[in-house]
Amino acid sequence: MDPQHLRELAKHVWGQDAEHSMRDFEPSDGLLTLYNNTIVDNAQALVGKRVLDMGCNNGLYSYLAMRHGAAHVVGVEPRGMYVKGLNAFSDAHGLPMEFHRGYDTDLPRLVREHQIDTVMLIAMDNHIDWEGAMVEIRKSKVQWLIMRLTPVPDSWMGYNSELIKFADHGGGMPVGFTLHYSGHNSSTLSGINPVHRDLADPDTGFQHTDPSGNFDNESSTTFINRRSENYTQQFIQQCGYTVESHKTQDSPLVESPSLPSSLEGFYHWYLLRNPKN
Amino acid sequence: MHIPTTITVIARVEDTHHKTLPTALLRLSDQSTEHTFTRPGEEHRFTVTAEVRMPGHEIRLEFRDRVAAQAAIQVIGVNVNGSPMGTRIYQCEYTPYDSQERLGSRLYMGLPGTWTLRLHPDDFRSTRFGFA
Repeated sequence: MDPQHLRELAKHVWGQDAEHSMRDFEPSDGLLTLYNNTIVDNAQALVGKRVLDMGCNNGLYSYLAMRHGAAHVVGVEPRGMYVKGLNAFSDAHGLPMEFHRGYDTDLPRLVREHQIDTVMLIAMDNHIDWEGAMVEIRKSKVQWLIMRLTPVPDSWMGYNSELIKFADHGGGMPVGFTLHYSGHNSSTLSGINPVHRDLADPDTGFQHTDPSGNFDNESSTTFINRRSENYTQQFIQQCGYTVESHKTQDSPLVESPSLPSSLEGFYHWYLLRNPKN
Repeated sequence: MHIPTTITVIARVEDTHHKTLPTALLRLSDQSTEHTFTRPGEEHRFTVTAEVRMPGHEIRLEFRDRVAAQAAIQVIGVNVNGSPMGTRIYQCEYTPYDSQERLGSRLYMGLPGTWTLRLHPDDFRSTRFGFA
């Protein structure tokens, strides 16, 4: 991971305003851990492969997959400012990457059109129908699926002090294998949330309720399902994937001011092989 | 904790030929920039870079002159390090110089005054800017 490359990438994604803040950027220990578990340890699914990064966000993992030997990377993201910036970065340096504005529902078409070997679903379980995506990938000619998920601990499916602490922060309550919670959606993630994406600004993802940009926070809600670890493992098994590797994060990576840090940092990484191909 | 931060406030002046076009200042920490609008309806990007102390710093856009007969200024958007803040800008406060009444969630400054928005650590979170 070359910090100078990431500073250059940031300038394309966020413009000149990013320059000062990125001047002294160095990867944190947390970022290096994510990098190792998401990219380095999954080299067999990346080197020489055509890779689709669904929900590529600022393009970090698309870029890292390319640097680790992917033959070609296609990134898909609903927020246009990222797509424009990443294409500019890729074009400026002649990199084998292309980015498109799109949604998870485009996945079957993209896999066919770009003859994809490997799909990356990184931290998509908050935002898309990831189980539906897994079924589509399983039916396709894709060979590998790299996933990073944030399932909630099985213990949270019952009442205990940890869960009550989470609920006190407005985080919701469990129903069976899933934790449902809702809140006001005033971030760029409105562009991803299927409830609001038709109303979201195509460039930034922010939801505006009328053409003049006036915002009604009360009607901009988000509704998220978080799956339990047990549910996640059973779903993968039922889909028929071969689990090549499964790693869990045993300590939080990210500190959040509003949620218990264990929720933000409790990642699971899966490298799955599609036995059909 | 001090964070190197570039703030851009995008503001538009009222589209009128009957009032004086104002000069406005953007302040962040010990840095500031100013701009005099030169045509009705003009949109301008005020950009300032400063070392910001978290939490607690505020963005402040203000009319330089207190004379009432000036065209209005409307804040269109705020970018933090190039990343749009989006609807968070509604957590602002507008204070006209004359009345000194503190008005929440107003982006439109119909009379000369100050517009402030306090920065929050969430504005710097990874979903908005940076790699983490």
